[in-house]
Amino acid sequence: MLKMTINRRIRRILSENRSQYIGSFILIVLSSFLFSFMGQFACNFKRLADNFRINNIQEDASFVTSVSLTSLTELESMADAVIEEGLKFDYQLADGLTLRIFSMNEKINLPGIVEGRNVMADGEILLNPVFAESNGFGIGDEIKIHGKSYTITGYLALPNYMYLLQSEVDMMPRPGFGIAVVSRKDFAGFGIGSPFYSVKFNHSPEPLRVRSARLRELIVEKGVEIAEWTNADDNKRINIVDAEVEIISMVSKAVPTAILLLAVIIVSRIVSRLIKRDSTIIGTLYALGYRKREIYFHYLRLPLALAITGSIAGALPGLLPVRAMVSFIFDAFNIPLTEIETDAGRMAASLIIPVLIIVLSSYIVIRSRLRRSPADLLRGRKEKTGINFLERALNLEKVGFTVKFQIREQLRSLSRVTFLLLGIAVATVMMQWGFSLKKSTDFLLTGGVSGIYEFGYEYKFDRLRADPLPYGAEPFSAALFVPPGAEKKDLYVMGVLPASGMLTLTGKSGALLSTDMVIATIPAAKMLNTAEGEPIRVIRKIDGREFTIRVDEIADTYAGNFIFMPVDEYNKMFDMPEGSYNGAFSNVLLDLPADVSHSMVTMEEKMAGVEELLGPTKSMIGFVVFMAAIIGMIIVYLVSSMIVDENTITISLMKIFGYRRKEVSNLVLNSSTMVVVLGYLLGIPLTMSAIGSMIQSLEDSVGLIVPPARISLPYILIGFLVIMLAYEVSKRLSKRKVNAIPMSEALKAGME
Amino acid sequence: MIIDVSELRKSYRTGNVVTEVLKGVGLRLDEGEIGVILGPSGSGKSTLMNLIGGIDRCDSGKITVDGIEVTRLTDEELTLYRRERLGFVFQFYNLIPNLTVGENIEVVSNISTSPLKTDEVLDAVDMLDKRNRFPQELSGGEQQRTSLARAIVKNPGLLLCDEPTGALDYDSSLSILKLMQGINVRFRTTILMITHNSAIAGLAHRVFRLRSGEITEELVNKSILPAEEIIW
Repeated sequence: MLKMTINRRIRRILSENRSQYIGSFILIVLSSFLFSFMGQFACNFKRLADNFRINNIQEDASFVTSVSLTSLTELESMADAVIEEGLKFDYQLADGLTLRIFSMNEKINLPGIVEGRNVMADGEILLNPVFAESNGFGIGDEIKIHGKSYTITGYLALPNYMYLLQSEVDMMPRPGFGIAVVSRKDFAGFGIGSPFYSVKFNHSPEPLRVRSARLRELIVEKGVEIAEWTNADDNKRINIVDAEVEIISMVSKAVPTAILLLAVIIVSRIVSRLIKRDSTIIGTLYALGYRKREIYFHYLRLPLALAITGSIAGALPGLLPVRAMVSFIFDAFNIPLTEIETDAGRMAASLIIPVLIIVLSSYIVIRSRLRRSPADLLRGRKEKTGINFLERALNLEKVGFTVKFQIREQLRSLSRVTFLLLGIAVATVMMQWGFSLKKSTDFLLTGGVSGIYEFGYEYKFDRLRADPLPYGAEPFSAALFVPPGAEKKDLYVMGVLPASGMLTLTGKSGALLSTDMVIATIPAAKMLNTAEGEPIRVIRKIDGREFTIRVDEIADTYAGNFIFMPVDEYNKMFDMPEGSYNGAFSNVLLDLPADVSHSMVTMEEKMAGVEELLGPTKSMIGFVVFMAAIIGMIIVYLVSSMIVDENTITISLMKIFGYRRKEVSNLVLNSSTMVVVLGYLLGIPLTMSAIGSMIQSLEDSVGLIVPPARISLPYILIGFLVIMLAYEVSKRLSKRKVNAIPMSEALKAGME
Repeated sequence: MIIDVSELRKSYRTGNVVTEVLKGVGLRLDEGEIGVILGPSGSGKSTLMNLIGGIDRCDSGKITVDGIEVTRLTDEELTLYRRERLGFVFQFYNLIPNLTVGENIEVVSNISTSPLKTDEVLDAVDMLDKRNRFPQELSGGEQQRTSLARAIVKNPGLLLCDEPTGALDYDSSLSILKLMQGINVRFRTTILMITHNSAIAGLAHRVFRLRSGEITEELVNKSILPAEEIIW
């Protein structure tokens, strides 16, 4: 009964110093919320993507040949694989709207129905949902293709187009690009379309890449030339999903952990101060016959109550926005959202981890504080508050009193100053992360590409051509290569006209580079780890042949992984027919014969979509900046509250000495200014390193090399203003506490 | 005369219970004098000191200090009054733990219009060699000397001392009293001290006995003792 009574104190203690407990409670809630929300989001994203790959039989590889394969069954049995021929063509629905239409597959890359139903009869069509919705096509509507009407029966997703890139060299989907599937019979009615093959290997422990290489050899042995070969692992339409899952997983652990760390520091400090204040009470409890473990448990109740209520209040609501977030991300990744599931393990972790860590750290604090003997505690003898090495080492003779006082105030408690420094740094990292995301997106969509390409249309032909092109168009030849031993990273080697008018490449000095030499972009040079004048070895993906190229210059651009060389040299080096090409840059629409299978993208399409694509990014950045400001405000408020609480006597004394309220507030509360500024400055390199890890992850998983993290001065200033605003708001809140301290506090000091 | 208190009343309310702490107190102290208020615990000594020091407000009555009617001052005027005219010495020293001895003095000189030099006051209390020590590195007597230096750095007209020797041993107490007497002579600072130790009355010009909120006796000391001769 006695134990029950003493534990009633906890609620009273909580209500005594509400602001600090509310602040730490909010941090725990936030951490658990993000653990739960982002974790469940990452789990569902991965699960839905994996299920889609398995259930709808995602290809292991796809290829295009110069002539149709006649003996598929024989090839299937030799390669122990299922091979299915598909057909596709790009249809210009309107200006800026391109629909890639596929024939219905039966074995591999089966359409997943996102909404509505599959095509069952002739004259029916499936569209991807984002394209349909953004262009006003509903289920049941008609769409005209080559003069014939098709009824939209549903929205689809294709396992080999989870990330809807129109071209493999694109980095982001284009808003005017969509995919559609019609029945084979309907497709035959179009009378056009280029064949391609999808491969699914039967189960075997042998690596897919080896099996893939063997199948290539089998095809070549049959005298068939392979025009294009893409393994699923190298296909950005597929593997960007893995990169995204990896990044979300990384963020879903790092951000809540950082916030939890802040919560741990603050709760530990609260517990430590409580025990220090309660030393006489603890001594009395010992004298009354309480056991050590009962006292431990009594003081553990406070962090336990905060951690349990905080983690429940955070983790459970964290489940609510998971569906909305998955649905939001599936606007960018075309994957059917069948069912949201709650991952029990992750949920348990979201509930238990914050409780475990907070209780454990509090236990350590309690143990270190209760080392004093009961007699010592009972006498209420104060623990010696040691002067730390920094306080002792500082010589502040020459600085003014205000600065001296503020420096001393901050150095009084190293754990408090660490908490403030880390807290502001975490808020800064979050905010600058958001800003740099916007900057990178802007760069990838605009600056990176528009700076070097001077053409309106890019054509890619499914077969080699040698016919002359009209004025305003330039031929190019391109093939995918990989560096030896790094098969996930690929780059394009492109043969272009010497002195091409369609490409503007500049060197590091800013001087224009002529395309009559071998020029690598920065990402390609980095990937190959090469410098000007060095020979590099590359392996052609399509046939695994190795070549050596000597790069003459490195162009100062991050627009993709490219090595440009004169097209004649290209054809000679890679054994291509003289005068041949497989693509064209053009400023005019080409009038191509109907049997020339090709795909075409326009630069306008890309640019027009920038604003639309940036919409969700902007709102996400707004949310991140808002969260960062809130975290910053909570941290500064908690620290200010602690400073006020720890300085009650000093504040009271200053009032007695004749300090005005404003003077006291400025002296005490402004002492954090320099730490806030330092925390902000510390946050900048931390942001660079966090973004650096993300970029590395992108490079490792999909071979995407993006510009090094750069934080621009305007964003540094904006971030600084946001943090300082949060600081001012929390100071204003704390000012009331300073004003409320009576002068009698100092008069009572030492009497208890 | 520097202090003139008349008909001072003060009561505190706790729930429905009203406790009358001061019941029409009156006292006078001239410039340059040392006054000692003697009384047991609960007699109202500290309340009287707080009212004269402008830390608390009375219910009725009048306090005039150096011609200023303290009982009529606004909050801002009270702040200026404490800032410019008063020095305080507390029983438990109330030094700021994370400031050095020198910096503790600066807390007051920082807001004074014409403060004395820090080193000069530290020298006066014989603490110059401990200028860069932190309070916890000092004995009780040394802490009280620092407190005294802090109180006089602004060269106040009136020094209010609340049991200045209450937490000290005999020798340290004597040395503090000696210092106070020296300050009184050197700077002509009027000192009003409250204590329950009647021996200290030996060094005062005037002694007031306070019991249950009333002045029961007022003595003018004809034979003031030097501090070192006080025994208890």
